[in-house]
Amino acid sequence: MGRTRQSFARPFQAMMGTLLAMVAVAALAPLAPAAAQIKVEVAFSGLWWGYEQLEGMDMRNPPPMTTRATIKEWDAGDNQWPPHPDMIDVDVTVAAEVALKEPVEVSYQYEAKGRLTAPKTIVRSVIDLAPGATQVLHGSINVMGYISHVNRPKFVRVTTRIGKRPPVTAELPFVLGD
Amino acid sequence: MARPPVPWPPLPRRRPDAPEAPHYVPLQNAGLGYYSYSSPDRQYGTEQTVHTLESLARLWVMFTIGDGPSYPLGIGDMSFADGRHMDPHHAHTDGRCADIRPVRTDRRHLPITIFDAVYDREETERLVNLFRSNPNVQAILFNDTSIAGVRQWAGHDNHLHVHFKR
Repeated sequence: MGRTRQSFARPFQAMMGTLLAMVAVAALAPLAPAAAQIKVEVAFSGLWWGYEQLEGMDMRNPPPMTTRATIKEWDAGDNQWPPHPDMIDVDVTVAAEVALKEPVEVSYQYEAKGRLTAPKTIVRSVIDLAPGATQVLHGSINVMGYISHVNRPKFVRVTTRIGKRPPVTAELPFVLGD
Repeated sequence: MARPPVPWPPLPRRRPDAPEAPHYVPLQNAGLGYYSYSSPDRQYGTEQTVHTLESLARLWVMFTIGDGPSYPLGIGDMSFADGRHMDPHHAHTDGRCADIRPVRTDRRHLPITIFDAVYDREETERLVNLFRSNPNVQAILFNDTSIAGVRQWAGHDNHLHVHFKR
């Protein structure tokens, strides 16, 4: 019985596979050139002390954090360095080679215990670019508002969706230590 | 140094809803033999832990080996006075732990990781040995496993997590 079913199933699967491939090609064809003409970059930063301020700093009365620091990894192992601000600023730079006017949404999710949290939107607007122009979208994530003895995320993922194009993601890893 | 962390049982933690909040004693913010790189409200511990830490810091500057001048060690987060959870740490609630900076070759009071050119492995080993010689020291988490007596643990490239018995 199993064989009979397989003999019927194989041509059906082959036909479905061909159909799906055709649909996929049809769906991707108009997107591929457009995707190549748009570049999305995500950068994480925050306000912190300047490195030159650290030596001899009186932690009873620390100076305000006024230096903008780029953050590649949010590492809180040492209180002073590398920078690990409570609030992370997210800058999404969109560059287009062609004219672009489409809705854009930037959201973030934490990864914890192998799962992603529900996405939270930090930017929702319409991007309107002339050919060759760039636009920077700003958003913020309150990292320390989430981290707790219960929530121990491994990273935060930022997702940028422009129109119906494939989403662009960027991740900021966390080092929480003990 | 890039080996994956070895699993190790979690350090004991006080339950956040424990009925009796502990009252720990403060580390003096600028004591003999050490400097603080954490705020004073985050540097409390049990009497025995604070006593041990201050004693070890005094020993550290008293018995400097070699020709160089003595220099203090850097002490970071310990616990809050009431033992409440200390973000973003997982432990640091029982008053029996302290973060210590590895030693720099330039002796400056600045952060350091084991991958930095100014990381002083030999002096850090001497520091580890000093702590290990104290009977109140239970464990040291640190990622330079070329030093005997430390346990590798994620996030410990830039500090030694010292856990005390009492």
